[in-house]
Amino acid sequence: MPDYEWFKGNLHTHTTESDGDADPEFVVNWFMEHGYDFLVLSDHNHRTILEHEVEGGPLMIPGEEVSARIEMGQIPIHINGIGISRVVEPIHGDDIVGTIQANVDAIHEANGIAQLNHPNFHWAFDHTHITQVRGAELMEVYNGHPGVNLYGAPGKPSTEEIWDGVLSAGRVIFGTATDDSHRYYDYHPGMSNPGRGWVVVRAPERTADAIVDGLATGEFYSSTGIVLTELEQSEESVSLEIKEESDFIFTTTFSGRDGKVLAEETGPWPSYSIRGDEGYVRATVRSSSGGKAWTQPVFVKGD
Amino acid sequence: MPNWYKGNIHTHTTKSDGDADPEVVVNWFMEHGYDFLVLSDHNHRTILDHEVEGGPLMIPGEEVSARIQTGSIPIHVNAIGITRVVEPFHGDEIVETIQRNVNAILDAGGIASINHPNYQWAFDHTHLRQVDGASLIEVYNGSPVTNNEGGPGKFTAEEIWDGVLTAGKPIFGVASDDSHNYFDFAHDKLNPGRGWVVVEAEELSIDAIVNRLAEGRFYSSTGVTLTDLEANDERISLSIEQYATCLYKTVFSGPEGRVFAECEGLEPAYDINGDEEYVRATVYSSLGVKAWTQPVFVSGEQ
Repeated sequence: MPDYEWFKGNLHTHTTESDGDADPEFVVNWFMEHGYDFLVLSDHNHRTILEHEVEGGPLMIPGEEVSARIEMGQIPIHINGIGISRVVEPIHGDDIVGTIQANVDAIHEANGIAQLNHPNFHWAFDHTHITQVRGAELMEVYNGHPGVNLYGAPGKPSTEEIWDGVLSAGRVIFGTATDDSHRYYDYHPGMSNPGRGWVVVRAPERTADAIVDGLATGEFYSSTGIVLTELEQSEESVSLEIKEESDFIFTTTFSGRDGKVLAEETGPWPSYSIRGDEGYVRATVRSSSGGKAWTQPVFVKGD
Repeated sequence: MPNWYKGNIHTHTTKSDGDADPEVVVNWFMEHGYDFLVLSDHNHRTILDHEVEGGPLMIPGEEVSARIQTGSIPIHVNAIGITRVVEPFHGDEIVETIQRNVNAILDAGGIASINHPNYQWAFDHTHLRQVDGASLIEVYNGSPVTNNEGGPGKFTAEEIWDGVLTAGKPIFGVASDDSHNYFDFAHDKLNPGRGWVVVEAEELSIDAIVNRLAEGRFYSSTGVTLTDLEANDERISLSIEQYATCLYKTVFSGPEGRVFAECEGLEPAYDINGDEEYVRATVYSSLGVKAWTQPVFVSGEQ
């Protein structure tokens, strides 16, 4: 018997308690019916708590999307507080780094962990800012909202490049995939619907503490459709087992500092032996049908 | 003045393996702003019993679905604008089976669209180069099981399209839904609204839409809207509709996917110099959605 289990959850979810179009019970039902083990409701500047437990529903972890704006302009700074024990009031600062830092600190003071949301939403900030911030545990490498510029553009880094930019500066931050769902009735690729991105956390039990600890320590992978059945990471090697589905072909890229590709492997059992000079090693799995998964970086000490 | 009409040309209902009856399906597309719709049930020409008021123009269609008799390789060819049902021909080998079904579609008054070549890794451009008479090929199919992205040793749907074009065979690239599921929406379901075509036509009629599809007077999209598209043998120019804070990159490419130019911004254009053989544009948005324009074949004598 393994001393842990894998738990699937969504970390970024709106309801009618902010600008979502379905009430919290309806939202929780959607995630229950789609096999989620835990859920973070993250309304803007509101800690949404269910009035009644949903029977058979996912474990509810209290959360909030702490939503600030730089006072002099329109730059949105949105940071999820996950596992907070009270509401966090947003701090609207004058500059990007200071505003991110102040809100991250406020989330920590409320006993939560901090996730930097959709850096490319309104092209708000990138790794040059995040590397100056201390203590943020997570950042969104995938966000399912259709307006957040995940893929960058000429002169603008993709969210994956932003993540690598932070990691390459030696800052440990883990990459999440989330829904940022707002719309639960009308489904269309142009709508912010649920079910597009999630995390799968390895934890000894399904409790808020265990899940939040697993997130904070990078004991999880992020996915938009790929399931991993095994994930072993040490200072010597990274190895994965990918659940086979249909006739899909899986390609796994192991990459390191500055996004440099270290190796590429096909098939359900990719692995990589760490040499020691990579800076860090992480794996990205792509399927022939378009789904992806991201494992968390292993930092390499070097000599 | 020609107008732009948006439509989906690959759609299932309860008349084959879809989970909603035709009226529910048509309503979904009506409510999401489609101008025309092809219901394409497997080996069944689905016609509405009653017109849906205010609904899209209905163009009769069918997904002619054959299998290679000696194995399980699926050969699916969409028939668009057919006047009667087409019986699938199940052959012994791939090229012959595709060809016979394309011919049967043309005989029934329709045009043929080659569906999801990578579904069960059925066939690729090496086969399609040997087929005559198909007007369209799916460069994007919204089903999560059709391997659009290819893999090592396999081709992406886009590479297959370029492979056919590189052989000098004009075939136009379509984006379609291949939708089957209309009640539960999730990443692993075959939901509507993921890929479509926008046709430039003088009027919204079956003949006009089908003829313009056959002529390549359209673009395909998974979310990028064009407001203007001019393509002749001297120049290709596009106008892209700005969405939210999105940024765009347009790639002009030719045989074997060779890139001729990359443009940023909302008004990309490319001047054809005459030795490209063909030129087509792909628009990439920072949101991850795309648009594809149709190839312009270059005579090479300029």
